[in-house]
Amino acid sequence: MIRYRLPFGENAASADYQRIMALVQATEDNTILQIDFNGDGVFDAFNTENGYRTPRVNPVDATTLTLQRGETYVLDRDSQTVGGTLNAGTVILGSKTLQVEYFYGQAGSNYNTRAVSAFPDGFWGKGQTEMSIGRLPVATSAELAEVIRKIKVREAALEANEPWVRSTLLVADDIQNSRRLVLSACTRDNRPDVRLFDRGERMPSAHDHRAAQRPC
Amino acid sequence: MPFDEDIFAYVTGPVATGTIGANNTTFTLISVTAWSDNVTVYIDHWENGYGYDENDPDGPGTDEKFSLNSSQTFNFNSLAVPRPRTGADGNTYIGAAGNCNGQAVPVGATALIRRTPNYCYDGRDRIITIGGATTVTAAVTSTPRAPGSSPPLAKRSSPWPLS
Repeated sequence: MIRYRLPFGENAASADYQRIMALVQATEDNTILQIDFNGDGVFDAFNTENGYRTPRVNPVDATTLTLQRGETYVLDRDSQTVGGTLNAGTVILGSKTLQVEYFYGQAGSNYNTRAVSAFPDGFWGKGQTEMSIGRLPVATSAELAEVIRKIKVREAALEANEPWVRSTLLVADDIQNSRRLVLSACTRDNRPDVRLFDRGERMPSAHDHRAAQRPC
Repeated sequence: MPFDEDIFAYVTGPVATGTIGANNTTFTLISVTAWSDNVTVYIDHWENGYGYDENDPDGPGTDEKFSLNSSQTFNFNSLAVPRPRTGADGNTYIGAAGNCNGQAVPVGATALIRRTPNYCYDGRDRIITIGGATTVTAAVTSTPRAPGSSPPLAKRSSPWPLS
């Protein structure tokens, strides 16, 4: 995953930033692009037409766009709503490495334009883990192979954007109140689903969730 | 190299006082400067698909190869990059009508590999350097120069590891 955050926006009320575009280019095939226009952690639907060959029209098309190596998506004021604004804090997320250039300028001006190369979150060593450190709780090579297999399955599901991989189920035992607390946290819509279950009450299993086509 | 020349026209159009026509060509200059001796530079044109193979860098997929010494600069430029660059989908190369026929190599350069002189030096090309660091910049302007006051655009390319 790679993430950029637009450092300036058309809401700056400055002539120098009247028009802003982010040129988002894939460096690998099958790169999935997502955009969060207000930085609230929820990725939004956007207009996926390229704009320069096919005009952008409302309503918006999808929450993801798959780019092949070398292809560019121009993120601009028409991406969220035709005729809107592109504001600071907009988050650009790629499933693989993206090259992003910011372009900004004054409308109808005499050469008041600039383009700068963008750097992703964590590029300068903060805001993102640089090295993953952890232990796999296994005792045999067979257990290790099984854990690695499951990691690969999950990573493939992430690439495919499968809904189940966005679910997290946390279980805690509340002895004092003789109840069992189950926190089912679904990150799909960013709204944790907290439920209490009495001791002895049957909790829904992962199989039940899958059968109900629910993400969590 | 970031984005193709159609996107250049798309993004600069709203800030220009004039109109960049659908068929206005561009002047595109890509400059590569080496920080040390014996730096190898490969050009992988997008027009014929990305073919450079890091496991066979001099193989048939490589379009062009040059060698640079410390502080030496090669200017890869195309005086009139035809537009549009892509078909209706905005991504597929338009074909021979988009070629820059008979491109010259940079002044002072000797091509170690050059399979065709007919592809433009333009946005979306990949530049791979081996043996030392390089600085890569690019500048684009529409031609004929300044319909109204359409702005030129300079861009600096950020390096990414091969994958």
